[in-house]
Amino acid sequence: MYIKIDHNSGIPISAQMVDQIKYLAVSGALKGNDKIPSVRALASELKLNPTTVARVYRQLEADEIIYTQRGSGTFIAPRRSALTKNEKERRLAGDIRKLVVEAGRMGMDFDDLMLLVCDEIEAIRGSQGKKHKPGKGKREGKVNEHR
Amino acid sequence: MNIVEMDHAVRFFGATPAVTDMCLAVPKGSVFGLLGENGSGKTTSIKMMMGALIPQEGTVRVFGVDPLTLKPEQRARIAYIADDMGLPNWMKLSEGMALHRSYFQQWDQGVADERLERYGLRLNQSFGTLSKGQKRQFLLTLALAQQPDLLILDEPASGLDVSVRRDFLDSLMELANTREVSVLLSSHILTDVERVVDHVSFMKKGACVRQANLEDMKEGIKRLCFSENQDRDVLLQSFSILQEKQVQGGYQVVVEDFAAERMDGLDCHVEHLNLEELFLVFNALSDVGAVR
Amino acid sequence: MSQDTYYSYQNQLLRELNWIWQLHKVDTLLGLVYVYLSFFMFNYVGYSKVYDVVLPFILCSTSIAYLTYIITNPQVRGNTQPYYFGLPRDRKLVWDGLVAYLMLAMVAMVLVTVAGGIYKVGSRGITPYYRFHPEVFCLPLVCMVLVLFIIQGKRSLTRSIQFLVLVTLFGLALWQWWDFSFRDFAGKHNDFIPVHELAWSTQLGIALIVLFCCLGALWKLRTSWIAQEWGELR
Repeated sequence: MYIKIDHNSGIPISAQMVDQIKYLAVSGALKGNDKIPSVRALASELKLNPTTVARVYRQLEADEIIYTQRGSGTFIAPRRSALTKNEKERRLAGDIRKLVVEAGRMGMDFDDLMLLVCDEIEAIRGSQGKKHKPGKGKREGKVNEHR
Repeated sequence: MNIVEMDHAVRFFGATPAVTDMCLAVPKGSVFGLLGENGSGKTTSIKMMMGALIPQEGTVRVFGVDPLTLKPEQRARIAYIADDMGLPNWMKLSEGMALHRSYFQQWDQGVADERLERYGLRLNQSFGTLSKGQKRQFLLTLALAQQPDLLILDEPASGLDVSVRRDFLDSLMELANTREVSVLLSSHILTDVERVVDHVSFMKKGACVRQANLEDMKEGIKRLCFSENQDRDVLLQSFSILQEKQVQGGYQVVVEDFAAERMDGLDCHVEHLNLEELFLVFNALSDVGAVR
Repeated sequence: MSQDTYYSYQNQLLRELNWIWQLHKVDTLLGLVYVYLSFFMFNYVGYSKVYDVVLPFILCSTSIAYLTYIITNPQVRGNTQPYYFGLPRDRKLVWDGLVAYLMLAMVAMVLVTVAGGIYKVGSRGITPYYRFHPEVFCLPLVCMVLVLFIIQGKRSLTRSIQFLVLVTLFGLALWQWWDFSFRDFAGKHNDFIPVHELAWSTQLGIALIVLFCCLGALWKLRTSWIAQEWGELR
């Protein structure tokens, strides 16, 4: 599992890991029911504190990205469609509004925004099924502009 | 359960205050960073934990008891490495190890051999011929082979090269990943520590300014940059503010209870703070007197 | 081995003794050699053989004083004290081990001194001198107690080697002055050996009084050092 951590960015390490593992799962680099390393194995691989990694796994489990089977390890959860279409839309509406507002605030053309979103979707689609290095997420990129 | 606790500990040297009011709690299994500038009382605090100094007021507890009353078998569960620590220069590493080993029932020679080989230390060398980094590595070898439950490191990385420093801290992480161990380390090199610690305590002028889980701290404490003045009042009402700075064309405000959902309707950027910036915020804060 | 026996008082004391021996064997052995050599260093031809026998005791005492000083003050030999603190040791045991070791070293040096005296002046010849100066047997112990007393002070002045040397010289001057002023019945004419030797009971009395005074002082020091957080790092 390829995870890159920027220790001095100020973004909580667990947040960086959650974002990247989510990305790996959504982009298909990690497939449903793939086994992922144990907390300690991943922590020693990344030279991280095991409590931090345990925190990541807890959060991913709460978000239903991974599941743990006692005795056999931790696995990527198959993508569920238990949520209704309405529910999915409701959950994303807030984030989408925020994105659009932010773009508007910066005076960005909405067509350009559409293109950017399409590019991102294409990137994820294109990487599905083959190993992919996760790029920096949108939020992170935005933050880095300020520093 | 807390492995180390300090409750309003005070220690003066003559009329000079070293530790004025130190509170601290190291949770079991954590890697705890005791951070502060030189002279902020880190070493004095650690020496009180080790029972090498006695607090004039307040209490210090290690494994739940006064460190002065720790029995040898409890004491053997603590490993301690200090910045200026060393064996006599003429002593051969083999002699030093044999002496050290005799004090520890839990000694694991396998760990010691593996470490020595990894660091390229030969047992027939004398301690004085080692470089500073090698000395630290040898002391770490001794500390790890004694299989401690608590590892106390006073400025473990100071004065070492980057690669040795990194290796030293990586070794700590390996230890934390193989055994249930609590680590307390003091440092003023924050970029190093940021990689390894999960709890931090900021010290200033002999007192703890803030102690928290580092991830929680990074999640909660953010710098908000905004330009329009009317936002300021909204911010003041909805967040508790640690630091406020007026910059050209706007304000920079550090808040301690950031949450994304509370940002609705506020027009500003959110900046993340790394350990160094967090430290500076709290260091400046304590000057004003708003401690804890 | 169970934990109780591994860290029993006895085992810990043995560890302390072994520790000090490993660290200070060179100094201890050198002290013994100096004391032995002193019989050949000082030769008061045509003067008095008293000092052939008594001076080694003074040297023996100086060696013990030096040994006491470096053992109780490890900083004088590099910064090793924080390291000692990292070990599972007991304050009381550290003190007891220290004194036990110094006592052993002292006894060994006294034995060497006596053996050297016998070698030099014969077992018969040695007796009068010791009857003349019964307190010299306790001199090393006195020095040891004195050094322990001096450096328990936290002031840097009293912890310095210069101060130690000064006090030793002062003590020796006092001893000589006492010897010559109050015991002038001993002179060159009778080879510094008094005509009327002290009675056995008096000699034994003097030696025992000095011994018990020293032991009492040691015990008092032990409690006060432990109470005063002896070994506290600065």
